[in-house]
Amino acid sequence: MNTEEFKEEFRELNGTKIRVTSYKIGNEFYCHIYNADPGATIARASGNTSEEAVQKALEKAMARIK
Amino acid sequence: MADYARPEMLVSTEWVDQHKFDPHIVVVEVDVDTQAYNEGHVPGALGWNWQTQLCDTLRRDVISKADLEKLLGENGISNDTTVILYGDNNNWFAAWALWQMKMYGHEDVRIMNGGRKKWLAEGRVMTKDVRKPEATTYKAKERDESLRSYLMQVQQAMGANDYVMVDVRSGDEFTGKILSPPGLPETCQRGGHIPGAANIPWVQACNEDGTFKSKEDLEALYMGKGISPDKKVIAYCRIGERSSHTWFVLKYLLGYPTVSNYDGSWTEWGNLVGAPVEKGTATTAKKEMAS
Repeated sequence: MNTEEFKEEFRELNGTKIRVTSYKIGNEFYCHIYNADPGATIARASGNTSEEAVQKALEKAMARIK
Repeated sequence: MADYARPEMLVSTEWVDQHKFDPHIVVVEVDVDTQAYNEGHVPGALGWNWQTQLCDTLRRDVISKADLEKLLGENGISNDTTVILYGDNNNWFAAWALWQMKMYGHEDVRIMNGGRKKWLAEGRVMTKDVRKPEATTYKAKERDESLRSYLMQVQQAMGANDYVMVDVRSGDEFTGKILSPPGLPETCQRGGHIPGAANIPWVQACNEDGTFKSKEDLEALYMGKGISPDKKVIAYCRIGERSSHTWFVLKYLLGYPTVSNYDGSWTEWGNLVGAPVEKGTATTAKKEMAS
């Protein structure tokens, strides 16, 4: 399976700067969210589309960063 | 990579792609996110879990010699195997695994420069297939404790002129503004840093694509804050994994002769009754100690 559509961007969530990484492996989309500094994983999710994976991961991250 | 003190300690993603199935090479993924391997990994790569396989799960400690021998043996790794480690987050826990393998004397263990992120970004092939290696017998050496610092050594080093300490956590952790990174549960009773330590966050050693910066840039980064090769260097962070990344940089990319990782790190020091703590910024190692 090739990796496709690798994207990485920085956002802010509840005042915390986060790094959002998303990519597609095979038919599945994945999203990982890290705190921007130091870069530890906060949440991850998968979905049928990039948007779905990102949204699910953001919801998990939101619950973790209060 | 040729300019580094030990260039052979790094391999490129391209090199791994070409050699991943070579018989004397074992590729292992070690991630911060222990589920990432299951999404897909380098074909043929094995996966190690830092929370259960690279530590003593009963008491707080690194993996025991017996458990390391079992892990490597079950993974088909012999004493003469070339082990290539890589992982997410610019190889945080790949460096943690390498530090432990070096403590137990494994000769040929290297890091894939750029880690999982670079492999993904380059659109290389991933698989979910998990290889079943043929077990071997692995014989580890006695642990080389010179690569590790314990609390007592750090306490002694704090006032010694021949030592410098580098705190590789984020600026906000170093100054005491926060007790732990956002979203992470492990914490401490006090925020701040060990008096005299310089703050050089681990990520400053990396380029945007996850690879290590050039030797010239790394020298400027560490020397500029008083972390020089004529001193004995102790690196620390929160639990010892970020500092193993910096330990790797100082020892193998810059060739510093004496570098150790204080894996007790801030979750030990910041919980210790009576330990001296400094808050705020310190631009250079031992700045306050010298004055």
